[in-house]
Order: sequence, then C-alpha cells, then structure tokens
Amino acid sequence: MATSVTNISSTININFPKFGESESNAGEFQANFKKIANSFNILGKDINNFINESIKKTDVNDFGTNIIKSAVFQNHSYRVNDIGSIDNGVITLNYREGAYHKCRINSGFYTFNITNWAQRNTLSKIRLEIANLSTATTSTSFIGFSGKIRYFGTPTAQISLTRDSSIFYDIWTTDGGETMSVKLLGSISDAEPVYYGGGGGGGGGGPIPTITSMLPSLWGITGGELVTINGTNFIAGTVVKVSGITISTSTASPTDITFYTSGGTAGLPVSVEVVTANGSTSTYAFYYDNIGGGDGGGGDGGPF
Amino acid sequence: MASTITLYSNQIDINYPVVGQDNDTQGFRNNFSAIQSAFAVASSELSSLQDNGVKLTETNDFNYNTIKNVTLQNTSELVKNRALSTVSTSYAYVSVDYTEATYHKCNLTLNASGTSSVAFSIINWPPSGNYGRLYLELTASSTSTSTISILGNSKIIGYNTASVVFNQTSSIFYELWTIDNGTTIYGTITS
Repeated sequence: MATSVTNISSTININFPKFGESESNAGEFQANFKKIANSFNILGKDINNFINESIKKTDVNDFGTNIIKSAVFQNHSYRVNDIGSIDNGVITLNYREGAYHKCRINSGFYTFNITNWAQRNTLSKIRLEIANLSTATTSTSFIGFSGKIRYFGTPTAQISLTRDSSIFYDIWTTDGGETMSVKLLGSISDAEPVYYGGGGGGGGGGPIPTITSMLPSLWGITGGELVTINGTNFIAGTVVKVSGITISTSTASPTDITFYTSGGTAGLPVSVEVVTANGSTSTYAFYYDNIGGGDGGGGDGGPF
Repeated sequence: MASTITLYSNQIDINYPVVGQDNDTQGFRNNFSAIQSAFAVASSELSSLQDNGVKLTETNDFNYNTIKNVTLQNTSELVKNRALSTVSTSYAYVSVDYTEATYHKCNLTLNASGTSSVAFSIINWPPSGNYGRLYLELTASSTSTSTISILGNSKIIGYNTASVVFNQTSSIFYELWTIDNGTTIYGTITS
C-alpha cells in the first residue's frame, strides 16, 4: 500500500508568503503548519505499519503462515526442540517448537503424538532423535506414533539402544497431520569400534568411558602437538592408545586427558582410544603435512 | 518499536501565528525546529528499516534470527561446486564450509597408483541449539579404493566407523547434520 502522505503534503502552499507583500495572512501560515503536522502524523502511522508488518533481520519474524517464495537459502539452520529425558507413555511433540526434536529415554513404551503440524497442502517435516538416557546400559523400548501412520521401510516398533546411542526418524505430513509418514533412518552408537587400531577393552562393571571431543583432530606430521580429549568416566588407570599403542599422557582427570602427539605419516588416519578397566571408546585423527608441530592450529584450505 | 515521529510533529503549533495580533517570531523558529526534529526522526526510522528490513532484491543476512510459521514456495538451497580434488599422494584433506552452501559437490581424482584417503572437515556449522544439515556429493574418478572420512566426532548410520571405504565411480551422497555446532556430526550415506 502506498503512503498517502503526499495527499496532504502536496497541498502545502509553497508560494506563501508572496515576495514583496508586506502583510501576510496569518491564517495561511496556520494552514501550512497544520498540513505539515498532519503530513508527519500520516508518515508516523505509515512507518509504524512498516515496522509492525515488515520482517527484520534483527528480530524473530512470525509470518503467520504467509509464503516466502522464490528464495535461495544459504547458511540457514532449524530450531532444535530438546525436551530432555521423558517417562513412559504418550509424548507430545509440538511441530511449532522445532524441526529437530530430541528426547532421552529408558526402557519402556513410548508413543509419540505430534501436534500443530502446518496446514494442509503444505509439506511439514521433522527429524526425531531418540537417545538412550543411560550411558552405561542398553535400553529396550517400544516406539510408536499416534495417528494415521504410513511407515516407509519396516516399522521398527521395538528398538534396542546401546549405551549412549540414538535412533533417528524422519516424520512428515502434507495434510496437516491427518496422515503422517514415518521413515526410520537408523541408529548410531557412541560405542564405536576401533577404526584403525587395537580392540576395545573388556567390561569391568562400572561406567564405560565416553569421548565428547578431541582437539585437534588434524595432526601435523612433525608431532609435538598438545591434544585434549574431553569425555566422561576417565577413571584411575585410564590409558590412551594411538593406533593400538599405549602412549604417555600429560595430564588426566575424570573428564579430560591431554597428551602430545608423535610424528606420523601424512594422510594416515589413526585411532585414538581411551581404555579403562570398564571398557574403551575411541575416535580418530588424521595426519596432515601442512601443519607443523606446536599449537595445532591451521589446517583449513588444503591442496585443492 | 513504534515510530516517535509524532512526539515532534505534535509540537508544531498549528494555531500560529494568531490572526489579528502582533506575533512573536519565536513561534516560527519553534515550529521550524519541531519540523526539523520530526524529519530527523523520520530519517532515522527509515534508515533503520532500510538497514534491518529484508529486501526482495538483495541477499539478506538474518544472523541466525528466527523465521517461523512460514510456508516456503519455490525455494531452493545453494550448491557449491568444488573444484576438482586430486588425491596426489594417497591422501587429501578437504575443508567444507557450511556457510557457503547446503549442497557441496566434489569430484575426486583418486591416486592412480594405490589407495586414497580423503578427509573432509566441515567447518562453520550453525550455533549449538540449531539443527544444521549439509549434503555432500562425491564422485570418484576410478574404482580404486578410497577411504572417505568425516573429521571430528562423526557417526554414520549403518556404519560402525567414521571412515568408509568405497570402490565406485558412481556418486556417493552424504547427508550430515549436527545440533551442537559440530561437536557431534551425524550422517547417512546413500551410494
């Protein structure tokens, strides 16, 4: 809608007062001032409407289901709805809360009820991550979805989640949730086997170690870089193996271990394994010859 | 935020000058001052809207602010066609920038004289608490053995290792995602 400010501003008498006239009509001044004031009032209302109804790069923008069309998206992401640990029973997930929903479960029966889908004749889709709440034991659960469901692939009602692992579903609808399509993507376990090196340790009855991060994961071939492993359950006696060979650690606590790298061959992936009396877990690194020893920085770019 | 333009436009004395009396010229100066202030507010507010408003004719950077309750029509996501990546000595390292595109295509010329290891590092994931996903299409030059690795704490559905061996020239498709800024990267492979 175009602004109507010029409807009034255009009537301002810009030829008043006339040159050479000693006496000017006070009423004409008043009329002009009134038109100027009214023009500003209209301008203020138009700006207010613009502020209220336009989208801003600095705010949350609610489109009220209006359409964005012919746009190209770059570096965009979706809201995560992490509802934490949940109990047996019916779990309601609100589509409006995110495109990615995450929950943590123990063994039990769980029925997911997804509400507030977008309107009919639009495609709305979520990804659901169901994680095992326990980092130590396997849970066996029965997963279902309420409503009229079409399963793609084999509907896996019973799932078994090993310690600290997750299973993923894609769920979508095109009719406002009257019919939902469910596709099981599969599961991932944090209890990864060793990739290039020795095998995992035996179970000792206590919590098995986990690795949440290792920095850097790209090592210079000359060695001497300080590597920090963060995780849990690094109990006394924990050792670190690089490609199956036990190395000396620099510092250790229940949640982090540091050590210095030795040199390696460019392009060689190496396993890094944390071994405790309760078991082991591993991640891996990669030797790269454009990185010198020392602080472990750099590494972007590469030979392409 | 509401417009404050009327704070000044309301200060314009629309009854000045008074008819039939000698008027102090200060009244003109006051009105002109109010008019000038109102223009300054209008200029500031319009500039803010120009700076922060979304434009149909430009790239708009939302800096991770939220768009919600929207229906998308005829939208697409950016593709990055990477230059040919040659595994010259048996290994290669490829940095993939999440901010550049959603879909990254990479042609790999594998080491002709042996096996090849290619490690992909995905950088600049969205902030933790946001679900970011990225597609990686890899096409190898030969059926030589290649080991593809996703650096970091990556976990691929259906594989018990983050390094996967391929022997094919047909394209391999990775879908990778994270909700914690790349601390853990999940993925699927279609090949």
